[in-house]
Amino acid sequence: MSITAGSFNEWLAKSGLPDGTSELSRLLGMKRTTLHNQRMRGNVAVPTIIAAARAVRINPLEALASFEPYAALVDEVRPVTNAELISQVSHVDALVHLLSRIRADFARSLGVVPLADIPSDGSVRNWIDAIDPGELRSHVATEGNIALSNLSAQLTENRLAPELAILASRFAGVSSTSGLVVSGLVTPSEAGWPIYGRENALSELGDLELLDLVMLRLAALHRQTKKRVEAEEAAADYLETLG
Amino acid sequence: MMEILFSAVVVIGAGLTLTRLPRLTHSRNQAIFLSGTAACLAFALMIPAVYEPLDGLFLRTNFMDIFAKLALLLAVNILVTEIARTLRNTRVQRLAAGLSGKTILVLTFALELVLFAFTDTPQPSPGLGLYIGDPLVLAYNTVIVVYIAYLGALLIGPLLRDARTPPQSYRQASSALLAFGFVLAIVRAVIMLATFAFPGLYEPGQIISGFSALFVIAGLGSAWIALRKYGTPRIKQSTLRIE
Repeated sequence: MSITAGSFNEWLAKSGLPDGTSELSRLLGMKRTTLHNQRMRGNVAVPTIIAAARAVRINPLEALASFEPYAALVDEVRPVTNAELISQVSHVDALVHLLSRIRADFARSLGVVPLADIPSDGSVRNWIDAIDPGELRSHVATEGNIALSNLSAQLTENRLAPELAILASRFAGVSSTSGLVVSGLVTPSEAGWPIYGRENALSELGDLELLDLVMLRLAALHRQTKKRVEAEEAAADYLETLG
Repeated sequence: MMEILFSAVVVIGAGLTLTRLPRLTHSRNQAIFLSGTAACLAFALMIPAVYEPLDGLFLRTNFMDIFAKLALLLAVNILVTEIARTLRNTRVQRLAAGLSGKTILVLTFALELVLFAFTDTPQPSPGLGLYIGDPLVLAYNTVIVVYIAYLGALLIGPLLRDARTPPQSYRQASSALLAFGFVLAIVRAVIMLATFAFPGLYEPGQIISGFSALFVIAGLGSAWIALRKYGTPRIKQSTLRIE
């Protein structure tokens, strides 16, 4: 779902933003050439709209909804679910919470550690897993005209194109803005997520649910670390042998 | 032109091979040192000033060329096996140094001996270049070039994959240069086959051989730099660290 340069220019005028690429790129903190290329191609990227909205203190989601492809965005906003909030708890956060729950002295030593920012490693994949009612990936791939392997590659890189994130939200029946949060395009507060929502959701978990969450996160960490260690060993072996 | 190029290959190759000497005492780089020495010997024997006095030691004229071919076969086989080992590619290892790989190597050399036995070359000439118009001599030269191209072809895919794997840019450059060297080896084989129809292609083909060797040397040189740049750190940081 691309945003045309024409509609972007109209929106700039309405929002009181400068039309010149140089001035605008300075204001948005992005490279002039990047902005120039987007406008020349007639395909303005969503992060550009979001940066522009933030520059004039407009809610990025409202700004995005003023463009035709994203018009339904604001109408489909729903309260974020507990499953979504828990999906954005990292392995460190889950472990800290588990240790604090096990021993009071650990809780005192660890103090009040703020949860990791969103997105953290695996945010997008965890969110997809949390909202998946079944066949979510294949639905997104089919409706989004993208190969399943390319969708998997995006999840591995912890990103999801905005249009695919919205498709996933619609199919799962969750807020249309959640995917934009977990992929780091908008902040939780911009999407209306409650303050301390994740902390509360974590506290409300039963002991077994918390242990399940920790095991799930540790399993993902194990897979990721194994890949990294093997890659490091392979690189070291390459250099030791050929270097 | 050919003499200058081959002299450059010998000098640069010998320089790079000598860099492996210090680590030999730690039982490292033995295979690459052996491969480099054999390759330097093979290319030195392509220079008339080196080749002719040594060939005089044998009763059969140009018998020295058999040693040059053997040195080249071993140099390339050892190098490809080592690269395949570092890339953890068991298929290429098997096809280069496993039972099938060894069988192909022995058969190639046996074929070289048979073809050489039937050649009639009264004047000493490196690579039997003076007699390249004789189809038997051309076939004798083609066998080894095709064998090198076969080994090179096995490695191009794995090397290109490694060249696209970040983050060590010198290691990536090393793989890319090695891959390009092996691509030239394939080009050289194609030209050698075309020489049956167009004998004038022999010299350009030899020049490509020289450049192929230079690219492989550059690849190993890049690996040598990479080891110094990214070598084992004194304090190894945990892969789990996220700060």
